[in-house]
Amino acid sequence: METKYIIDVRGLVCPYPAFLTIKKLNEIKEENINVEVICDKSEATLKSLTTTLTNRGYKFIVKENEDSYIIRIGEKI
Amino acid sequence: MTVIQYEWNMRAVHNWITNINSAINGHLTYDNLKVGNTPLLRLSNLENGELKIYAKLEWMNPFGSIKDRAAYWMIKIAEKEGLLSKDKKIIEPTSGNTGIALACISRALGYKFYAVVPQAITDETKILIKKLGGEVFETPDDLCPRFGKGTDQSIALAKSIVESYPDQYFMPNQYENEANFLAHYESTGPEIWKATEGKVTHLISGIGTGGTITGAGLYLKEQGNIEIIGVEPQKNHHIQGLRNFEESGIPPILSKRIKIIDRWIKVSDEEAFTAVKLAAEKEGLLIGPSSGAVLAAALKLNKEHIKGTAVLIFADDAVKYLGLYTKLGVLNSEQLDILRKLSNALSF
Repeated sequence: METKYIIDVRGLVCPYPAFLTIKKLNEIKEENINVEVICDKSEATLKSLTTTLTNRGYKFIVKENEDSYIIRIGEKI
Repeated sequence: MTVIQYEWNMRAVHNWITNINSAINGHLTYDNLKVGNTPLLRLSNLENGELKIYAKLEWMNPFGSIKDRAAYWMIKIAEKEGLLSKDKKIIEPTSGNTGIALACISRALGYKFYAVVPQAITDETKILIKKLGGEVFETPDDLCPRFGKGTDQSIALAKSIVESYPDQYFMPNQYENEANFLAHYESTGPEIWKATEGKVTHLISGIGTGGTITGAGLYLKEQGNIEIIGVEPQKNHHIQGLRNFEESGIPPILSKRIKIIDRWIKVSDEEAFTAVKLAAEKEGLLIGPSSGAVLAAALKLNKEHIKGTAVLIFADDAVKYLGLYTKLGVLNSEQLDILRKLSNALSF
C-alpha cells in the first residue's frame, strides 16, 4: 500500500523548507510516492520549493489555502 | 634537483592527529590549544630574480588550516560576550576548513556542531567533520533561486535554520563576524611582520571570507608600504575555499575593507594545479589548491622583475585533496603514494 508522507514546514524560514523537503524525498525508497508539503504562504518559500522539485523532475500541484500552500508531489517525470 | 622531503606535510599530520585525539578525548582547552605562530618557509627553488618568496604554512595550525584562527577567535569571543552558552548548538556555513576547525573546537568544548557545506566539498572533509561528531548538511546549488551557487547557498541555508530556531543555534558566521578579521589583525599580520623582521614588501593571499587579507593586510599596511595582493580564481573553478566575485557575492567583512587590497591577480585552475605540481617537485611541499592559486599568482609577479620579499599565505596542505588530485592527475604516482599514506594516517 502507498504510504502518505506529510512534510510540515510551516514557520520555517526559506530556504530551510526546500532543504528539508529534498532531504525527505531522498530518504523515501518507494517508487510511487505520495507526499504533501505544507508551507507558509510565502512566495519566496514557494518559489524555492517548486524550483528544486522541478529541477529534480518531480510532478506536483500547488493548492493555495488562506494561510498556507499545500504542494502535492507525485512520481518523477 | 628534485627535492622530495614532504617533511612539513608529515609534521602537520602528526600534529593534527595529536590534536584531533585530544579534542575527542576532551583534553583540549583554550589554554593548551596552540593556534597560530605557524612557520614561514623560504621557497628558494621557486625564486627567479630579486623577489624573495616565503610561504606561511598555515596547515601547521592545530587542525590543519588557516581557518583554525578564525574559528578559535569567533568561539572565544562569543563565549566571552555571552552569545554562546552550553545549551546552544553551533552551526556554520563553510567550504571545508572552518567546518573542520569548528568541529574540533566544538567537540573539545562540548558543543554539538552542524556544518552547512556546498555539495562540491571533498569527501575527506565531510568524513573528518563526521568523525569529530559534527553533522554535515550538503546544500544543493539550486536550493534557492535568490542566491548564487556553492557557498552562497550554504550561507542562506544556515541563516534560515538559525532564523527558524533562534534559541537553539549560534552561528559564528565567518563572513560577517569581526572576530574573523581580528584573528588575522592580531595574529597573522604581526607574525609575518616579526618573522620577516619588517622586510615584507608583498602579501599574497587567496580570498574566501576576506578575513585573512583584510586582517593581516591592514596590520601590515599600518607598519609600512606593503602591497596587498588578492588572488581570484576563474569562474566555475575547482579551488576550494576561494571565491570568484563575478559568480559569488562579496562577504561583508571583505566589502567593509576591500580598499586594503592594492591589486588582484586572476588565476585559472590550470595555473593553480600546475603550481601545486611545481611546489611538490621543487620544494617537496604537498599544498592545497588555494595555496596553488596563491603560488601561481606569485610566479606571475616574479615575471615582473620586481625586488622585495613576498609572503604567500598557504591556507592548507594537500591531505584533504587526495581524491581531487587523483581525479585531475595533478601529482605523479610517487607524490600520490605519499599523499595516500598521509591521508590514511588521518583515516579518511
